Amino acid sequence: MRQYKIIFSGPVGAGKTTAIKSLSDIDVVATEARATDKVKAIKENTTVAMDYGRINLDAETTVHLYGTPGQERFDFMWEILAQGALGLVLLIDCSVTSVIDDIDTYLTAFSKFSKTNSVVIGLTRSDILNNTENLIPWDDIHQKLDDDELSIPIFEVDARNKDDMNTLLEALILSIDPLV
Amino acid sequence: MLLSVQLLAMSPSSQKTLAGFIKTKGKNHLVLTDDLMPDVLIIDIDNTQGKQYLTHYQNSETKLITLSLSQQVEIPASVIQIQKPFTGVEILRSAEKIKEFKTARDLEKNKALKKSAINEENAPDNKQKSIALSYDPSTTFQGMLRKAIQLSDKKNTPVLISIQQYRVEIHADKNIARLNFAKKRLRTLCQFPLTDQLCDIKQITTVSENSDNTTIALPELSWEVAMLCSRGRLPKNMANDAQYQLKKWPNLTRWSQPESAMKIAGLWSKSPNNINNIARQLSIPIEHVYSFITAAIDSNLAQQCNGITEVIPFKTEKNNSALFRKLLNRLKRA
Repeated sequence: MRQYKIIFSGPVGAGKTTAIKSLSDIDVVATEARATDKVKAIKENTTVAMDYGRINLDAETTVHLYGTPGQERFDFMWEILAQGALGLVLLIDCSVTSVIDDIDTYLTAFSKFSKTNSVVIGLTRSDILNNTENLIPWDDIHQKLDDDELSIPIFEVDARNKDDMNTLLEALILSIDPLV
Repeated sequence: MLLSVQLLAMSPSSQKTLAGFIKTKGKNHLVLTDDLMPDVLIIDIDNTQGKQYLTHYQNSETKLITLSLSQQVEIPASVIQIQKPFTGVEILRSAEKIKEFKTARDLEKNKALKKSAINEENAPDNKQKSIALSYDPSTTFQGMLRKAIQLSDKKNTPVLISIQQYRVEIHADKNIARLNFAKKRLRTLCQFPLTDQLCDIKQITTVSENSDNTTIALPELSWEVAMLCSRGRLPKNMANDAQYQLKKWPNLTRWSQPESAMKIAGLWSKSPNNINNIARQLSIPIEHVYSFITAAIDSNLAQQCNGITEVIPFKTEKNNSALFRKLLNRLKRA
């Protein structure tokens, strides 16, 4: 049996659990608890250990999907979960003003991992921006990636949309090996 | 057969009368459209704008009917002239003539297509092919857009592009554009050659407040327009063997994806590379690479790397190839 894993990370409420639900072949195992801290203002329940989903490719091959808890106090877990992963999917809520800081926080936290592995970024909740004249601050985001000397796939996604999540994973694979 | 028709350079009252006639008595022959390349254009040439339209369109595939107070001797014979005051019968008679002409032309085209299919075996070599697949962006909406963005950026003011009823406001300072039409209409604007006569580009001080306008980021607009104008061709100032670097990935979940876009982006983001190599390494038609790089350059996601001549070949790691293939097949199938 060949087993592989892909990690989903990002701030609270960015859509990690939803993204794994969109991709998983099984019901997602979510370790959610009632939020008690400032997260309560964003959503009622939040992931406290990790989310788990699975893509079954054939009888012999499985890709496990792990979602990290979003709160920064759990950051000690992030790199542990990422060990041995095929790649990292970062989901970032782009409707908040802290979008650049959030990207910075997660790229820093996974800096060791991203040196030798592929990372993709999905910008979620852009539908909130679409109702206003505010657009995704692409220039600032690209500048941030330039500063970190990263040329990684970064797409607008809706975590509920299977096509979007498939495209993001496709980019992850092809950024590892475009000749496949 | 219904002919699509557009009315140009008319006074509001003439426009209303003629449109009313087409929608009622003329409805079995003509249908009004706002496409830039309809089957028929009816132009009032008793004013400067009408004369400009006539000059621009007289060599195009669109058939023209001109309305004027007197017969014009300098107008080509292929243009149907109707003298004012005109009757509905004259418009319908002209429509019949155009239908006959179109039927004959379609037959000719079909014959020519069959002939070229037979000649396919004698395909041109690569050099000839690459010449055939190059184009001049300055005569397309892509060129007009580039010009408007440069002007807006240089003068630090909004710039308006007007082509018939289509308006595009460029705000380089905010990195956005506002369109008075739906994004899908860009295809129409990119379909045919444009000249400065038909496309007006000017600085503006007051911007439109219309809430129906479509707001779009400039990189996205540049990407879409370049892709639609390229149609698998390469701008004439770009070369197959020049090195280009993909600095940033395009937003491929929301922007139109040229064929093989994801693979091209994956390989090109690894290191600077040239068009020939990309097509060869990925085993894809060179036209896919042309569309991608044209759009990437215009949207400032890629740049030419002067001074770099050597390509660092990407070597695939065999360890996970089978897994990746399975996963990709699964993602595409889902």
